[in-house]
Amino acid sequence: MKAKRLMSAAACILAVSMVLSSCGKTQQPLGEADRVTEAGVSIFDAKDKSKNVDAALKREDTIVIGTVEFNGVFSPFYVENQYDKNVVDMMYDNLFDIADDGSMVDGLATHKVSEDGKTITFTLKDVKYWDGTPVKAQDFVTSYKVFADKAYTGPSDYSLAQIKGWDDYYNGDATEIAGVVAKDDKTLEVTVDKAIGPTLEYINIFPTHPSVSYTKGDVSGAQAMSQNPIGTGAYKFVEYKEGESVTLVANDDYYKAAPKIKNVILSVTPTGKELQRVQLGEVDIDFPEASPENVQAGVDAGFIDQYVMSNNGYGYVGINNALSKFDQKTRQALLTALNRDDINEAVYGPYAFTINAPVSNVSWAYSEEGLNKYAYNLEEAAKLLEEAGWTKNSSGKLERDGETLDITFTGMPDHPVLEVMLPVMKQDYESLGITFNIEYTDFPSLVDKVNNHKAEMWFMAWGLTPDPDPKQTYHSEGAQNTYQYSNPETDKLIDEALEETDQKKRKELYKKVWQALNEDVPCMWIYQRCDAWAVNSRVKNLEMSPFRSLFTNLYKAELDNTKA
Amino acid sequence: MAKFLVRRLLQMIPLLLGISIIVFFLTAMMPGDAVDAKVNPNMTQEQILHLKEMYGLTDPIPVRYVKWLVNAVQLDFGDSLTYLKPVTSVINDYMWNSFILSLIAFILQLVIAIPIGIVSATRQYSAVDTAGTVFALLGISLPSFFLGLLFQKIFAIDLQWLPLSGMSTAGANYTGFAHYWDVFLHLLMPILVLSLVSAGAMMRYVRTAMLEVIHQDYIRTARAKGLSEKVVIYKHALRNAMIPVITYIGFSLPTLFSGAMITEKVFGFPGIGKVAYDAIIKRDYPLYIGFTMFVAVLTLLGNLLADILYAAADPRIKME
Repeated sequence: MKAKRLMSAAACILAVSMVLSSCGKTQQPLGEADRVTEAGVSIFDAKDKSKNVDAALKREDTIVIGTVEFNGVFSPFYVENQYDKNVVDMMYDNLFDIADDGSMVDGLATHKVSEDGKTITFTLKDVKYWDGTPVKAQDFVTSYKVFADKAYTGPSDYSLAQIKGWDDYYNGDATEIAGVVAKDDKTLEVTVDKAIGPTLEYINIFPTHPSVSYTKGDVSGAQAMSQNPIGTGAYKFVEYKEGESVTLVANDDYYKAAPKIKNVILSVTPTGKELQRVQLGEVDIDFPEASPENVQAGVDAGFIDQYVMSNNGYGYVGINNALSKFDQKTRQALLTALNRDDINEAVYGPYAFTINAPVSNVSWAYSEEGLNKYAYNLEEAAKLLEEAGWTKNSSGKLERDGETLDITFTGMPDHPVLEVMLPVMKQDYESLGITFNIEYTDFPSLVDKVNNHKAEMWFMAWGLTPDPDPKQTYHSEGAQNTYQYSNPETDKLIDEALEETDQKKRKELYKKVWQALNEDVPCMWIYQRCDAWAVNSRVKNLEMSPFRSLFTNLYKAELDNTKA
Repeated sequence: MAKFLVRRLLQMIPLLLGISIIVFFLTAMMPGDAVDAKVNPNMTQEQILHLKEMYGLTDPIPVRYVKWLVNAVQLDFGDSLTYLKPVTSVINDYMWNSFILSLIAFILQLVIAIPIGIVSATRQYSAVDTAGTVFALLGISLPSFFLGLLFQKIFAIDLQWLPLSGMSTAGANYTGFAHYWDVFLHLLMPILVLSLVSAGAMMRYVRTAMLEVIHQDYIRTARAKGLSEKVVIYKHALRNAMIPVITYIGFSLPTLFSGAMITEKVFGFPGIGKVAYDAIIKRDYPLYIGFTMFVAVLTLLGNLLADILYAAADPRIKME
């Protein structure tokens, strides 16, 4: 079937190019979608609501949402898995909410930034925890302290925010973090050593209920929040059945508005059964792979609304830049010889975009101005290789300074993208005179190999945070710059863009960052794909966007159990 | 008997120690670790190193083993790096679901396999035997994921008789009998899959054992002295034929607790098999080692149980 789709790719190229040109702010609907929201979500409306199933309609005040398995870590300090995080998002609120384009807007507090940008003063809104205890400024101080504690082993890294006195607390004897002060119950003041673009995002935090015990060096209370969550969120924790479901109930005193749906259950769906569960009415919402087949099946069901939007991440082929054979020209040639459009089309149909810089197409920092598209062209690639100094030897292989161009690609078995990409890649690269070998390994082994710089070329994907800063992944000092890309000019541009605090100016600076990266090709960006949500049409007023999940907006949703 | 038991239990100690060394070193030598498996693009180098240190991944493997062993003999297998809970409590959370599923499937498997096996053997080359053999080969050859997907397609999606996945209906709030009925309906497909794929092998086992026994001299003697065929087969032959079957049952003990990974994955069933598999993928070594040791103990106990059952089935075997 994959092969068939690849063959029909040419026929669809017209459709793809239409979609590609529609990226950016004024998006057109994807594929055959009926409409597109302001946040860039394409919607396929249900056409025949009378087909709705009783299994779903009889759950009058309960919504069931399908999910991938939980780790059961529901402490906002330690949450890591996306599906645990969806639960946490319903139970906890932060100082800032994330807007549809990834920028920060006021959440639990209003804020004021000082002239020099270093001091942010928050005035808390009147918000209560589930048990009626009012939220106080001191509760945020506790949260910061836990993250600054050496005993903390969760995934969040608040040191990036460069809060004043952070290191004295982390490494030293300080009992308070100098830059975090509760002026009174309602006023919180956060001071950073250096204001940077994502400062607001990096200092964003939730309050810790005063009953959670914390003393320096003992974070067990924060860990135990996993079993006994207590927050301010729209939904209150009721029960977790290991490996099966999480049940939540509406918090009628929620500070934004009382949730309209009383009960929420997140129920684990086995991989591949997402759409069927919505069709059968076992769940109201689920998350099938955004493939043309699934979307069509959802349309055919009649009573399913589908929301399709960009995923916050991108897939890329990593290149070990430290190897002398992979100089800039050669990397450009390799990218030009990779038929990304057809590969994406074959795997995801219209639901993936070929990208040429590491930024989400819904981010405020998105720009494709001045980006080379590296359109698939083997002749162009051959020319670039020649310019890079590669010449064909007697056996038709590319050779430079006595070294032939041999590439070993490390992949993961049974990966849907690799299944399509690798045969195409091998054929095209070998036609240019490159020897292309493929080896397979499981994910942690691949990570190990990549981190120790033992891989030459590999496939992985990055998730994107709301802030577009690519320092960890593309700066020569970045912890996750596994491709060992290093260009002092790019480093400078990345630092400049990170340190600028004005979003408009930052946008201009990021334009240059994307251009520099696009020119250098530190790795080969393959796609930003789409996520699709299949939703029973009885669910009304559901809002979602790539940076703001439906879980954060669920309190606005309503159920309409009539078939009309 | 008591002496035998004590001796066998004491013998387990060096065995378990050996197993733990092999399992621990093999696991620790796997490329990549738990921190590698959970990198996100905003982690700094300092934090990655800090996490590795806090998880005890930076010590040399022998040091890690000794630390682990000291805690393990006090039944503390550490905290899972994925679930952030003690390993024993993670196993406890998921194991019983798997146990219920596997136990019912196992009983069903015996109920199907033993009678068919006996009949196949006593009426060798008859139509019943052929049918039984075909059934057995089908069961042995069909992968459980295929049978699972087929059942889901037929019974859950097309006929809509049974729920597609999980262990109970989300949002139904059943109580009392209705709840148990609901769970039963959810268990039905995985149980059928598990028992059908393993009943075949078991049936061939019984058939072979039975065939061997009924060609023995003492069976001829029993027939010669005029005993009825029923008594010959079910009293004299069956008991002896059961010895290899008992070995099989003994070996099956750990599988009752260790879960059925593939079937659980297909049906989204909250069992331990899936959890153990994910533990390897996520390099959650405390959980993986804890679980493997748990299965190792059960395997040794299963062997012991089989030995005790031998003596019950065959008075010639003495526990010395």
